[in-house]
Amino acid sequence: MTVYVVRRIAAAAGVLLLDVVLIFSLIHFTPGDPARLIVGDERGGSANVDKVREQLGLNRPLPAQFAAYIAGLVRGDMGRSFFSREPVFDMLASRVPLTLALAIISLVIGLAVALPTGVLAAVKRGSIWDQAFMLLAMLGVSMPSFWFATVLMLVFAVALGWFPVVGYATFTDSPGRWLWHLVLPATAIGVAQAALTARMTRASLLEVLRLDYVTLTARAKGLPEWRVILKHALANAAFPIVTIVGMNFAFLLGGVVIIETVFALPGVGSLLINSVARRDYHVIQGVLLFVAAANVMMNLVVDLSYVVIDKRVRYGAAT
Amino acid sequence: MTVATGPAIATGVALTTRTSPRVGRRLHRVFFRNALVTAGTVALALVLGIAVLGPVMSPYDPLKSNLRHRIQPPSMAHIAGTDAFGRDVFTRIAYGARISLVLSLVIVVLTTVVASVIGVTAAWFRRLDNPVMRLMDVMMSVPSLILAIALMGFLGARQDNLVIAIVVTQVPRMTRLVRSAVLSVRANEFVELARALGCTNARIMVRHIYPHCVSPIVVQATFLFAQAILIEAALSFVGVGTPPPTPSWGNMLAEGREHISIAWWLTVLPGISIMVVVLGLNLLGDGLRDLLDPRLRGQD
Repeated sequence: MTVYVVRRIAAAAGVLLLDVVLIFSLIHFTPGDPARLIVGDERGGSANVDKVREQLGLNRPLPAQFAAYIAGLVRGDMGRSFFSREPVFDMLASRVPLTLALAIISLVIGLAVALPTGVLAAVKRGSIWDQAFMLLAMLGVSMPSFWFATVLMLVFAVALGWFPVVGYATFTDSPGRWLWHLVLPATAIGVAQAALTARMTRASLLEVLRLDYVTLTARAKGLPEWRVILKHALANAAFPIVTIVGMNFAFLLGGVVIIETVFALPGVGSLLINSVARRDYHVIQGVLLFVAAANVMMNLVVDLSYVVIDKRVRYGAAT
Repeated sequence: MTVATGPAIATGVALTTRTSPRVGRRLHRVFFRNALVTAGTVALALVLGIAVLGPVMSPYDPLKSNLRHRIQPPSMAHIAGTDAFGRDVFTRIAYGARISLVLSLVIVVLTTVVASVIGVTAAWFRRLDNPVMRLMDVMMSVPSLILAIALMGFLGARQDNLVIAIVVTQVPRMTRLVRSAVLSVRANEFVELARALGCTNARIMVRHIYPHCVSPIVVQATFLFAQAILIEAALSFVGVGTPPPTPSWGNMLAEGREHISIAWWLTVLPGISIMVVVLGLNLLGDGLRDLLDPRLRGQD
């Protein structure tokens, strides 16, 4: 078990390190001269270009650039925005809490919808419930979450006026208003998430329900049906379901980024999109690094949770 | 995804052998015996029809503004209403369909070709396998939508860069699929036999192995098409994809959001178009998987 845990942590650290290399090198894939692109066609011409190039560190040899980038990261220095001159680290720090909160609330909503419907659909396989849920899930995975968010806004904010159309209140000002502003965005992401997860929950539970120790042993013991499902079947389906949640987390983060734009929420996503429009390279790199780290961490947590969920991993059989 | 073996491989052969008399019957069965495939095909045909015929039949220009007729609800003259510039929304949806479908098709073809070359090479030359697949893992550790948006910042907002950005984010998953399909096929004895007969590596890969991998790739390409439409729409929605005034479902939704309190049709109708295409492709993909890969049938 210790071997498994150490190995997972090492693998996650390895992926993250390669992410850093990849994100660092992105700027060198820019066609043409990044410094000139930032300066644009303004007056001042080449003197300005040289200055920007120096700020970007592009006037130094590649290994030195990389060494400086790594050294900066270790100190928590991710460079500065070209526009506001603000350190990227501070920009991220002020926006990460909202994005993480949105991701977590969406994840909770998604699971709260997906698990009961997925289980019910699997248990009552072929019933009207199964068909209705799976049709809804199919619709859910087929619509763009940002569009669903806009429709929710149209119905619940514009037509009914139950929720604010856009805007945001900070948690410290008023936790209630803060949550009130996050209900619609989180629901939009959560529903898209639920559609994916419900389909997969149903599929993995169906697999388990076919196995002998569920169909024969547990039922032969005379256990009530709900105990067979919840205790024996679901416990064994937990492994793939947790895997799915980990896999879908990347998709969820992607959804959060877009939904922040729909509701004009000041999170990491809107930061990314503003920076892309202005080609603010250091900020884009900072956001990518945060997203990659969040995703790698989430998958590490998923990998480590297998130790708790599945005894086969704990005893080293599945490493 | 599990790799196809046994019956699925037989299907792959049937689909790729041009001379087989069973192909016609097989295709007929694929498209008419499976309700999912039929429903998916109908949905796609509907949007394809709008994309092909809409611009021809519509009397309106998708770009020319007509400020006297701005923001009008659906009526006989404008069946989907008009937008903030007085342009006919139905006409723009039809032109947008052309753009979305063509861009996504290019993305699917490029992704499949690139991923096939990388995947086959990685699976065949074992020394390349580990480094190549680790690189793919790293690329997949950043969510594809976010990576595509970021890439647009580095590449610059142009339509060809949009294709490049989305292809880059989709190649790793397809490569994984191709690689695992090739690995399972190459374990077969006929590969050994081909080698004994003196076939070159390239010939074995192209003529003997790749054709057996076609069915899982076709299924994945269908889902990829759906993904490409969604990502293109998302990028255009946040303003880093297809630039206005060129109509794209994504940037139409972005414009619609600005007028959400007065014009519901600007938001509802382009979104439904996206949903119909993506739903059609997802149904088609599910149906094809059932038919081409019977081992997976009924799993979801």
